[in-house]
Amino acid sequence: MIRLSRIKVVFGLALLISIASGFGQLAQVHRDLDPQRPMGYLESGEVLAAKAASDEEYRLARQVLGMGVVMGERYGELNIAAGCCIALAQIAETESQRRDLWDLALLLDPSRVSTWATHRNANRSRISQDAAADCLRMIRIAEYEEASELLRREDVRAQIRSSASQLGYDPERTIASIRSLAESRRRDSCRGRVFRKEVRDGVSVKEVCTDHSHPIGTADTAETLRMQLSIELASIGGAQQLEDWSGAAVLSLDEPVRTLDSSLLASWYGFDPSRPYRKDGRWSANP
Amino acid sequence: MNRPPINQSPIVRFLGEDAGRGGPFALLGLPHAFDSAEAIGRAQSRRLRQIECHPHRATPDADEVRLAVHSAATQLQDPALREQLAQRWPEGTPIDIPKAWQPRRAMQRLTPAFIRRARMVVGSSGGWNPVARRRLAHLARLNRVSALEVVRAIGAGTTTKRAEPGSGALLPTTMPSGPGNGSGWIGAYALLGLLICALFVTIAIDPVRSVDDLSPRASASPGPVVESISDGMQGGVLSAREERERLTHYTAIAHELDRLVARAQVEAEPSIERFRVIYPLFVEQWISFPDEALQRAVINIAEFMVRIEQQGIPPEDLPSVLAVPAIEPDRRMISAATVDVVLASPELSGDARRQLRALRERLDPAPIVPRSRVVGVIADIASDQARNQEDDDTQWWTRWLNGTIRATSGDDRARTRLLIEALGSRLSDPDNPGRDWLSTASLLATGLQWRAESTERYWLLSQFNDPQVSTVRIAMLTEALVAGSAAEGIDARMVLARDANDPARQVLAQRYRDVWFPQSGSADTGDGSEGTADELLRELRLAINSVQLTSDEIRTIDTILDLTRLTTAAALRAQGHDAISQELLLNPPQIQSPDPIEQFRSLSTDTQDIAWAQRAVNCESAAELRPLLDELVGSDQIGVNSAHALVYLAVLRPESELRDLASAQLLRGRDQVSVLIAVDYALSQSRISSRLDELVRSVLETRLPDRNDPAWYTAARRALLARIGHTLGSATHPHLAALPGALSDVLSLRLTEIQQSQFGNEPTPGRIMDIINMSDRLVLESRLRENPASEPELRSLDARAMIRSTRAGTPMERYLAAQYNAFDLHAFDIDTRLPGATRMLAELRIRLTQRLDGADSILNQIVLVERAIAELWVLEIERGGAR
Repeated sequence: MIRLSRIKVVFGLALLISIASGFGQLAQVHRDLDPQRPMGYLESGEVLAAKAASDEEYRLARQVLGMGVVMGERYGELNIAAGCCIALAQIAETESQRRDLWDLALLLDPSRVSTWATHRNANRSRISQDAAADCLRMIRIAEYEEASELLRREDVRAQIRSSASQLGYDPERTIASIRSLAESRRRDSCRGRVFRKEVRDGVSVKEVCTDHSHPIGTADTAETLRMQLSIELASIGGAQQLEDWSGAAVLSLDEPVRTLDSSLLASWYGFDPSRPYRKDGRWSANP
Repeated sequence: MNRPPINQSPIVRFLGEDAGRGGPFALLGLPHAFDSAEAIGRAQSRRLRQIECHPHRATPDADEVRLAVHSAATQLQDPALREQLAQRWPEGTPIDIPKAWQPRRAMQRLTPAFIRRARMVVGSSGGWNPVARRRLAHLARLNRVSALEVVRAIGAGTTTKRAEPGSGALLPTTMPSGPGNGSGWIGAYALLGLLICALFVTIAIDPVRSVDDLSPRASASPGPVVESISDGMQGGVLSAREERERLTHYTAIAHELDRLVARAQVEAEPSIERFRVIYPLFVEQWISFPDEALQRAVINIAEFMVRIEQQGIPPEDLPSVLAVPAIEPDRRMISAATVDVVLASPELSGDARRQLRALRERLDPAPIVPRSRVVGVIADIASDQARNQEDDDTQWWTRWLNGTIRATSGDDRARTRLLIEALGSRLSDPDNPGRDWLSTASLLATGLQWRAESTERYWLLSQFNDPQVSTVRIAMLTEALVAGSAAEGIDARMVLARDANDPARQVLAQRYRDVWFPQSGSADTGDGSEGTADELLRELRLAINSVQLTSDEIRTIDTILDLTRLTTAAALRAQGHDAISQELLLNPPQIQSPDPIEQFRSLSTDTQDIAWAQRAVNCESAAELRPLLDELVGSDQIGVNSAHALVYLAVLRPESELRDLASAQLLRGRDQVSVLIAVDYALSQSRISSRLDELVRSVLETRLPDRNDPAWYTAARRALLARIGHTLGSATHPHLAALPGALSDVLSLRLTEIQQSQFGNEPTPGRIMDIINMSDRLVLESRLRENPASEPELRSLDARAMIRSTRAGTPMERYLAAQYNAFDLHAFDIDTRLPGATRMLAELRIRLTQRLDGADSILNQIVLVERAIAELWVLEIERGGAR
């Protein structure tokens, strides 16, 4: 019993020490955050990102690094701001954000061109892109089961979200719309074939399957078809091949180009640059 | 009776010759060595009494002398300063009297006869009323003295005491000395006394306004009658109100600020007290300061703040020193600008800076940009105020205009810019305007010149096209222009109806264009390059100001092409190709496009299509298929099920003749989206046969990897989807489909033969721009080789260009990126060649970024960048920069 109690005491002490050390590190992080010293945000952000395990911890790490970008830019320490961008790119939530962060890093510090060239497109997965395009095509050709299978993959959904966002569609609504198309169970008996065989008067003949709600290869409405084709094209990288401006316009590839700057980070990560200090677990305007 | 000569200094007149001999010692009548500090107080009281006994004790001159006495006493209280002053003014040395105290030549014209005449004018006008003021102003002008001085002179001989409430009487305490003792003078004096009483009553009711009517500079002047000194004097201490009334001329305020800087180092607390009196006067009267004096005064204030902080005044107390109740825009301008200049002082501590920033934010919300040149700061604050003012209050705008005119004196371009900003800001207010807008519009419009080829003329044209501009507001502006501005060539027909619709606005815009720019649209073919340059400049300006961001695709496309034509003509001219440039001006390219066709119709379920597809897919031979194909030839479009049937026949049927017939039909319809969708569907087969490979290649007319290569499928799908996009696009947006070709035709005029040979048959406009940019970049780099300071900026330009090109996914994005890169390069090039263009370029960049963020389509963004490029060319041609 005594031994067990000792073990409990030792365990309890260790727990207390680790909690205290955690608090100590957190307090250190908070002390390091001074807008006139953007390096503090980079150092603290990297520590927080390395230790982050929960969504909330990642969120804080992103906020600290995002604030570092803004403060670095404000106080002319552009290399630190670029460093914060690169650190953010490592923990970016989506592929398009990751690329944006790399681009922002190069904008802030043009000397990082070679690093940018190496890493900017490093995570681009051809497999996910092709699978995302196939998923949409499967829906068009009424292969709903295969489409649903692909849509269960996180990388496919991420790619669809990324392409939708690039085209100006709301990413989550697009996923929901595609999911509803794939799971509508309006399956035909010929499973996505245009023609099915029938025996008429003892003779086997091909007939157009009319169980589909729309002809195979198309969609219920012109708008849905336009959206599907444009996301397919964007996912598969076909937009680069599209030399025709009117083609881009008809496939909604004519969204205005948004300016890339550090003000985007505040909306992405939910922080207010006018409150650069951490106090009692909150962002504050005063130290 | 002995009258003092009128050209004596006020000090000599009031205190005698000795007082005017030199410095504070003489002024107070003190020897250089005196026994105690009390002696100073005694001397001060003595001098003040001396002034009180003078017949002109109620005049502004007396006030100035009292002020000098107080200043001298304060200076001598400080032993260190006293020692310095003693060295500077040894006994017997003449002093440098402040300019404000020196008698002016004009004052010499204020003879007793003249003053009498002026009084008669007031009397004969029935007292102090507008008629008297107008007549006095006329009299003053004839005699080359200021109206204010006349008013002061006729009030100078009288000191009145403000009556107790309810007494209903004003008691004259002193009568002016008369020229003799004749009995006739008694009547004259009685009449004059009555007149002066009437004068006092009129001015006492609204003294500032009365004097204001005579002189714009005299808004803070005490008027001809001031309060009796005894009311405000408590043992030689002056109230703030009295100080306000004493410092009537800017030189006196400037002089005080000069002295305060010196005093701040030795006696911080008293100097702060004094500063609290002087600073509000400065804020009130800054408009009357000439440039140099204004700058010096603000620098003195900045230095004063630094010094009092160094003397140990806590940083949190500093803001209260500069805090003034400033609601009016002109006061906000100067008070906020002064804080900005103070913030530019490097000696200020971080804490003080933080406190002052907080004060500055309270004073005016304009961005804080610490700078030492106050006029520039004021202009920026005025610009911010103009953009953020949310109503048409004429009084507010009058004060804003006064401040703006002062801040931009000598810089017409800056003034025009600010006035245009103000008008532009109010024009885009969606709220219905009241009568205030008419008077404010008139006020601002009359501040502009409206000369031929002036910025404001081009600007007004652009307002007719701007959908953000309210029709009622622009209508009232045209009313104000016609009624009150100096604009030439406009009459009652140029007023827009307040309920005008968009076409009516365009009609009026055209009328203004015809009147103000009569020769536009026809290039001068006979003249030399100078004529071409003028015509080009005019066309560029008109095009820039006629840009209207709209959702009308055809109009937007035509705007893009027109702007590109003009910027290309400008570039060709800069390259020395004047003839081609002129040719482009004379023959603008135009896009001829067919009507749109709805392609999605062929993709819907159609019983005729289903029936045809079923008959075709069951054909056993070519002979059976032929009549069916004949039916198909008769229809415009192939239905999607029919296309599926043809693909089945072309790929999966063993009979070669049947296959060939079906393939030929598919090739005939390869520009139809139904055919492309059917071919795309065929790709889902588990094996890519040679027939399918051949069909895809022939339909797409493109090169693909080997069919056994795993990349074939992705490449084919990508090409098919791109072709579907092209097919749908060229059918539904034919005008847009023709734009890249038209742009390429224009842009390729800038390419050399060698550059042109790098392209195939149909170079894209984005690619052409890239080549032009590359060439311009090389030229720029070689020109700047000797200037290593430009290296980081070039690197930054390259990085931005790389990012734009990498992020551009679609053809329009690629063109926009190339265009933006061209803008960046040209702007940087101008910045390095044309001195003084930096600020304008920075503004242009900011404006472009803001507009791009607000644009709702990429086509509109292309318009905006092309317009910005056109603005660069205007700047370059105007400044005559040679590339």
